[in-house]
Amino acid sequence: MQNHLGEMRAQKRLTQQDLADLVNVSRQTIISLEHGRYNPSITLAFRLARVFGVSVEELFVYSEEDNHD
Amino acid sequence: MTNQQEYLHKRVRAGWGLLALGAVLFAAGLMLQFLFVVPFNARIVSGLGIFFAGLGLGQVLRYRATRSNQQAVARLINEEHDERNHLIRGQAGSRAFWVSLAMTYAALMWLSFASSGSLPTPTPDGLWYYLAAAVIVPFIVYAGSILYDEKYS
Repeated sequence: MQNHLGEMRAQKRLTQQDLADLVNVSRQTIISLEHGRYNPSITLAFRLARVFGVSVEELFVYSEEDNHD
Repeated sequence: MTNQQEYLHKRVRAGWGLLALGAVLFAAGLMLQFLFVVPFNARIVSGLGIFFAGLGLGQVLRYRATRSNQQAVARLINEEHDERNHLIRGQAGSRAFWVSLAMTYAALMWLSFASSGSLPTPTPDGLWYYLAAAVIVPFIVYAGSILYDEKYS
């Protein structure tokens, strides 16, 4: 699944570790999310969206191809 | 005491517990080896003691090293509760389980055929090596799977 995590994090001038601390996950999870290698749980997706003050749909882009992941 | 500190103390206590259990098993293993005649290799008991003591010591050192740094404690807890880590460990456990199941099934099949004379009966040494492999191979699959997924997922 594609996402705008990296851009939004850069806009907020947060490091990956800062963001990880804010949503209570490891830095490696943020790295994997930004590279699109890992799809977050619904809870984590909402926590991330809240940090940036956007909706989950604005942060994560779902396409039908993601259904096969 | 904050929740984080409480969690930290619990983990340190569990580490000391494992260390104590390991020391007791190690001592018991030595006693069995040198003071009694037992129908099994007593080093298995002392080896298990060393394993538990190592786990406990690692846990105590890991948590005590972070206790004066609140941020380090928070990050350690985050890593332990991290959903991706849980997923990776779950998948690794599942792979190791299937390998373990396959190895046990293969042994069962072999023994079934051996009992009917279709295959040679395993020697005690051969069986010992196979059982040792049945413990070690799933562990290698588990650890390898974690390393692979940590890197590529």
